[in-house]
Amino acid sequence: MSDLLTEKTYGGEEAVRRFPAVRAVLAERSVRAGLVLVGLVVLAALLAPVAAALTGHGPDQQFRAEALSENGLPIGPSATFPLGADGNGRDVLVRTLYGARISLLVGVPATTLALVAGTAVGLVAGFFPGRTDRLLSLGTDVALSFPFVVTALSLVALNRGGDGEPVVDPVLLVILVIALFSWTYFARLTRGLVVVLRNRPFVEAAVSIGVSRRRLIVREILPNVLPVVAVYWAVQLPVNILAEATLSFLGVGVQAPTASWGNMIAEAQRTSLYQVQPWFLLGPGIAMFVTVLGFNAIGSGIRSVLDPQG
Amino acid sequence: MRRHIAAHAARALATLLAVLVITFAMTRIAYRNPAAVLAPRNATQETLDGITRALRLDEPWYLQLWHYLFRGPDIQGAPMGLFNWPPGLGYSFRQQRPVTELILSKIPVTLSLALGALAIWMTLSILFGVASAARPGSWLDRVLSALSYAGLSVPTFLTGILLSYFLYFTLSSYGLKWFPASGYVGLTEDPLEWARHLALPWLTIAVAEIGIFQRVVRANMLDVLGADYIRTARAKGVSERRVLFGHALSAALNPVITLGGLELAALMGGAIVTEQIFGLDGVGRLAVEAALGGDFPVVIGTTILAAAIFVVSTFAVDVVTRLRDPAAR
Amino acid sequence: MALFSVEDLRVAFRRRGRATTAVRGVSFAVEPGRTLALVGESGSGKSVSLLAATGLLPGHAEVGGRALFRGTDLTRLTRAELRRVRGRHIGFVFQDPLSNLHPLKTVGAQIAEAVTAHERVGRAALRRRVLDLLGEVGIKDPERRIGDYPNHFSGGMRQRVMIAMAIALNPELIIADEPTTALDVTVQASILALLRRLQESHGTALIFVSHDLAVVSEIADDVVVMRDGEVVETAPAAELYAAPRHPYTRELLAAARHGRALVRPPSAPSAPSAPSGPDAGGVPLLRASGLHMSYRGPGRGEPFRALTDVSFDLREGEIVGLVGESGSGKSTIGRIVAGLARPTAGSVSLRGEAYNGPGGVRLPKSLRPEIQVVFQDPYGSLNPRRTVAATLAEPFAVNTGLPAAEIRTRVEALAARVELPPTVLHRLPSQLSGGQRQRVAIARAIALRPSVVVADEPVSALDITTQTQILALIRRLRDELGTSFLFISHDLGAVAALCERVIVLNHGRVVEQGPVHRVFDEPRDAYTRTLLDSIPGRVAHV
Repeated sequence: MSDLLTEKTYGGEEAVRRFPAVRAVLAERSVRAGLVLVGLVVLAALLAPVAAALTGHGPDQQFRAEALSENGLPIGPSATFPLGADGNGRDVLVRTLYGARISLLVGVPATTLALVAGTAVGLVAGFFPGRTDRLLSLGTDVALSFPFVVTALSLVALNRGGDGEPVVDPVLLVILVIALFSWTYFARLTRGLVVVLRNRPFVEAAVSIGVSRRRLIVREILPNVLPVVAVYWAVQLPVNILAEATLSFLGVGVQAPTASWGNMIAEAQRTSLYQVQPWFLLGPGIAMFVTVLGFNAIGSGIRSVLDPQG
Repeated sequence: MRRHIAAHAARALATLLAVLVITFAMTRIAYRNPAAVLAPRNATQETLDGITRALRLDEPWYLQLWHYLFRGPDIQGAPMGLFNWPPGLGYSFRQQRPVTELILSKIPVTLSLALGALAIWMTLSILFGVASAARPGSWLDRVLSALSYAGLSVPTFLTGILLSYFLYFTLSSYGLKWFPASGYVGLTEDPLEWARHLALPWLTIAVAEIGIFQRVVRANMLDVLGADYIRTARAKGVSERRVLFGHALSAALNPVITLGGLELAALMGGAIVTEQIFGLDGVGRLAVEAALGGDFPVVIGTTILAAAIFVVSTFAVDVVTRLRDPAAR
Repeated sequence: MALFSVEDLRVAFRRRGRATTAVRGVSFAVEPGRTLALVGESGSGKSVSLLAATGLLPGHAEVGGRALFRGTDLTRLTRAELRRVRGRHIGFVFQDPLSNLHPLKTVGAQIAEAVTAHERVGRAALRRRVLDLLGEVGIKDPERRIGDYPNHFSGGMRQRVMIAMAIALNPELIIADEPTTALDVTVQASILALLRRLQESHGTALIFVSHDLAVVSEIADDVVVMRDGEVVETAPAAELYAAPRHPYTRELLAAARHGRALVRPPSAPSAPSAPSGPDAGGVPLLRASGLHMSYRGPGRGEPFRALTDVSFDLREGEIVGLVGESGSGKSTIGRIVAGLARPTAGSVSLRGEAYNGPGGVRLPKSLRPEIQVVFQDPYGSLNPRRTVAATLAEPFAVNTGLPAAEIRTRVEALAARVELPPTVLHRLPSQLSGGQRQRVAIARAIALRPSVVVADEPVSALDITTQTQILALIRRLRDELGTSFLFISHDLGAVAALCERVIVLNHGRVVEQGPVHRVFDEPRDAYTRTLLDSIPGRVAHV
């Protein structure tokens, strides 16, 4: 009821003024540069099927006749294969573009999942000191103590059913594994924020007015936590994109023949073919660098505006 | 202080215990026929029965855990459970060696890798971070910050490949064999060869870590440099170099130490990618091969080791930062 | 010739391409051995002028004009040359002695550094000098304290350490920027005395920056009044206090006098004819009896006793002052009365019904709206992400079933009552001034027409002219609504101007309570007397 009053009656026309930070963030040079880079990556992911149609090369299609020389080595960049081919005669450009899809498709949901779970845990731990907090903090410690790669490898190894076929879709598993290892970050962040906010005078004033506990969390604390958590989503996303690439590089993330930057680079390295056809390595390598650089630039740009010291 | 340490130690032990139980339960529940997974290839039924007996695989998992903790697999007669002395971490039937022995044989490699990299990245990060923070916005700050962004945005495996390509293949194609592509030489055997073999792996790790730490040092230095007591130091006429290194750095170091402890712990648990690319036979590689092959006594052992290192280093960081803080002493 | 003179000083800060001017064309001069005071409210440019003149502003500041020290223009010196002037020839004392001392270095090391930054001294000789300095600024047992860290010192002792650093090389000039603002009155008096004594014995010139004309009257020979980055009046102290020329100076002086009109009887409560006098019968509105509070510290040892046997009454429509220095337990009492903390023993009751005490006694939901709080920090007491309207609507939304339109009307009426213009209703706290924020906090507190409002240092974060306005508002609200206020303050002047009765606290004990004029005119307790004697400006009849 009072939502009507507070948000519409007074808040509507003041939307921009309510978030003066938005304009300041967009004015930051590194944020704008990052947005351009990330925009390019998103565009590449969206246009991957178009590129496949234009070149006539499917991402997993092999063109041994056209793309491999007589002694079986991949060809370099040409008109038909703009970034050359890989060891199986597949189009590196098309595969790199499809790799962008996998990267975002794993990174974004994994980070979001981690944010939701971590924020929930952090809110509860921060708001209920004592036993609840201790228990949840212990859980966070335990999750942090597991070595990421080894545990991820074990989980993937366990995912093989009796007949050798995966029980859960490998992409989904990678998302879950990465979320499992990054929720702690959001939980600690949120808990810290809530502990500070809980003792702020405006929260105590709300208690004096008679605000219920639920309303206190939802109306007073959460609005002050969410913007910070959202910024850290942008900070954690590139880390998680790298995590996917690392798992795929080690052969336990996204499985061949599905194109992922990690498994493409792994193949280039394992076969040493990048010494003949450098774009086999540089294609996915540069794509990945641009993506992670773009998100890093946005994340730290926002942080430097919202918290000049951070 | 003493009470705080005791509380932290208790929490650390609880954490380790939880890690142990989770890992153990996970591996035992997941496999319907663990003996077959654990045994070497083409093992006879007799061997399989032996494994089942040694690990008490026919009992419920919590009894197996109990057995694991207080007795260990019945292989060599002597108890080798985790809570015996010397503590045992089980037995790898694949490799026919106790897990503790396997891990101990790999530790020198991993330790050399982690500590050497730590020394390099900490020194450079602090120098770069202080230089950046001394004149924020200057060309030097921009260059260093851009480099740190780049380091942060390249995955370790790509750095490793590129370094080995340019500093090994390219150099050796000109006849310059400065760095070997892979392998490890013990520090006690030949210190120079030890460093030569580890130079590229160290650099690989350092590139990524400098990407993180340069920014952390810079941000904390900027924070501290804005503090009132820095103005007081300048008002006393203290030289700028002393202000930076004597006053600001000492106050800005705590978050750096904290993060350094965590990163070091993660590396000691296995710098897996780096070990893989440079053919280093360390704990990370042991763990990866065990995880992929289902040799779970080794998986449990290495996981507990990694968790223990993590917990101990968090504890150490806590003690160090508290000792540095007169308010907490 | 002047020892130090600033001529046509201009300072601008450049951020993201935009320059904001902080100081425009400021000039003043100080003669050797004399004391010059720079007075003005926050943002008047008084500190910035001095930091700019001595090269202590951060890099994005642009400084124009001249700052002549013994004939040398400091604004033209290189960083290295300036460094040799600071510390050796000009000593500095800053406002908050905790944030101005390095937390991880011992006080001895920090004082020693003031010497070693300019001279080479042997270890033993250096230690000797530091011990002498500690003794000179009145630190007892310097041998034992030399190795302590700043957090082991009280505020006043930290300021003494700052002063020791400033005088270490016997400079010709000391710049003291609000050196007593963060301190309790009794401590303030002793620091002022120390500065005067050192100045006399060393013949040092002093530039004393303050927002408080009363404090300045204790120490200054000449006064420069600043406002919005400009000098509005320069005059010898005696002249300025006797006959201020500029209207702004008169305003500041009036505010300083108003706050310290200790002898003037406070206006009698006009609203509901409350029974007054200690012997008035019946049940008081609010009664705190036998409150005890102790905390267990992090270490072993005795628990810290914050309150010992505190009892008092608050009657209908009465404003009672709760005064004491920091650590006296006054805020703890406020939190207990507001139901935000629980006493270890004792109880608080409203109209005879106990609502707070150890164990199960808890504020029932029906009583919740009856007791409200206003906090010191106007920044922290409003949710930064909610508009003023949303904050003011909250009490109605939570406690009444009123429709949105009715709530809106009430919010507007509430804003009008605390003299907030309707335009601020859709603003966020960050877009309000400090005084406006405090008005919002007060409006929220009176929204539900509580019987009691606990106001914990509601004006101490505000400029002096704003303070006067907020005090007037509190009194008017009491007169109109008949609300009782528990007014917690370290400022005896504000208490004298506002309250009918006063409770004096020292180390968690009530040392004296009674009608304000009785307690302040004829204090019975020795501590109350010390407190009153420490009030600055009494000597000069400010």
